[in-house]
Amino acid sequence: MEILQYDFMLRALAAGLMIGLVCPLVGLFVTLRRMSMIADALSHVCLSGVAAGLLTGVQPILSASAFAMGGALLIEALREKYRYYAELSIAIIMSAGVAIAAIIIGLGNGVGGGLMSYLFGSIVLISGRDVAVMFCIGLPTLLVLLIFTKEMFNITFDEEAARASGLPVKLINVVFIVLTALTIAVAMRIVGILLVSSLMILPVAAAMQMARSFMGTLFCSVLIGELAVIAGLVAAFYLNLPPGGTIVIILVLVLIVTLAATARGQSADFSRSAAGR
Amino acid sequence: MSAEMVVELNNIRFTYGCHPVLDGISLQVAAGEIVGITGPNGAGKTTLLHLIVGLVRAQVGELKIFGQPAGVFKERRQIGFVSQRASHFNRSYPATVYEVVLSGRTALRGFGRFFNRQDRTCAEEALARVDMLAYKNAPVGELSGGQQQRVMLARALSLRPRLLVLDEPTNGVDQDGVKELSRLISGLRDDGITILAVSHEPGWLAGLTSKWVCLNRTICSCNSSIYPREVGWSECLPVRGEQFGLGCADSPVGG
Repeated sequence: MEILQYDFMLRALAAGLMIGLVCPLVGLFVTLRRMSMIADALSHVCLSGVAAGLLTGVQPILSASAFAMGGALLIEALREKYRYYAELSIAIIMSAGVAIAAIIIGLGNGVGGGLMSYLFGSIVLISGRDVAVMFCIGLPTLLVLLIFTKEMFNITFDEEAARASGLPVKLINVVFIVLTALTIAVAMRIVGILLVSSLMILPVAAAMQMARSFMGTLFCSVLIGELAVIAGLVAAFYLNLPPGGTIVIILVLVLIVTLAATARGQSADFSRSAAGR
Repeated sequence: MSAEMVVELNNIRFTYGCHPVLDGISLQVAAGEIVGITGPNGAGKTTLLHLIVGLVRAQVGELKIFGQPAGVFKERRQIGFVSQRASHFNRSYPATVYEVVLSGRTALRGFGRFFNRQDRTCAEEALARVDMLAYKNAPVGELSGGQQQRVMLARALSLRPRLLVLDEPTNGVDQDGVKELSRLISGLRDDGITILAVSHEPGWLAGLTSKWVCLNRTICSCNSSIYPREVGWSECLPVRGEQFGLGCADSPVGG
């Protein structure tokens, strides 16, 4: 295959397989906790992290990871402060992230130009070092996620009962939000800062239409995520399109198809039950 | 020989910030008892249950669970808790009945460990116990309110608890579901499980309770197996004094 003869495509596919696995896994719990907007807020914090990295010469994925983790912990702390207006914490951190990025870009030194490839993702600019950093952050993130899967299920289903059973809910929540931050930092290189939350949420939204169980939803989310990333990268290569936008449009199409199929199934069920009366 | 004390509260005081929620609460629950807790909205019923299951700590007073001070009590598996939120959980949550019940045993397994055969057996036993084994693979959101409440009960029972704490278990459950719940509670009592239930509905626990506790920040009445409203303690239910403790005709009574 022609596509596999290019080193940059091999690097993009390796990184793509990693984020296609991790993003929907994190996205499932983000969705079940009804915190979809948190991914958007943290990706905006990543923007300031990338800008800081480009300004200081630090690997941008590492600086974005550090900024996103800081943002994640601040969101968690603010959620405690604004217990009944938890969404305020997300808005505050999102604004702060964009504001810091704007200031750093304003400082110049060509930061703005370098930032563009992080905003919408890029295949050709992914270096071997980028892939190494992505795997170094992505694999431990994946491992910790798998370790906490049953605890996260329990907490997202009924947090009160989970706390009563003795689970360290606060600790798990902090670990999870840090994992979310790291996942966004890892995924932004391919999908782009502005679209990274879509890769977390859209596969889950489609899987929830198809599966009837938690494990089924989890597997479907990952499968849809992986297929969309691979198909998106291949399409981006042959059609010379931005990878982030292509992946997200494929995910949107998958979601539309699953929604249509579910609506058709429900309509058929309704007709059958009406005829049976 | 006297019965083992499962829950002992002695002069408990609990405040949220500067707002007193519970004061002077003394109550004893012996093994095998079914205790109904009632009272007006904001009387502190749910807070009392939260104290017992360890979700909050009292600022003043002594609380013992199975004879141990609450602060050092570690055997949480002995307590099955069905929270009020369980009755209005996210209906579109993507999980089967079996997955929900099995998740009740999460804290027993520890991080990174999968559920084992014993966990699966306990979950299936609990489902059979509430007559929901046939719905094992059904999405939990597709069940009726009564069936969902039975699943929540099975989730708590999957721990094989000795104390079952139920917060408004009849919320959102139709009459048939309430009858079924009542039958199940009767069976659990026969098995020697101690039950504490907060409820506004007297009927479903009729003839089952060993005592009703009427709560309005402090315990207004206790020690009767008849629902307070039926014996003229109604002054306790609608009235909430401006001053702490007012509106309670009787002095606090310990169990």
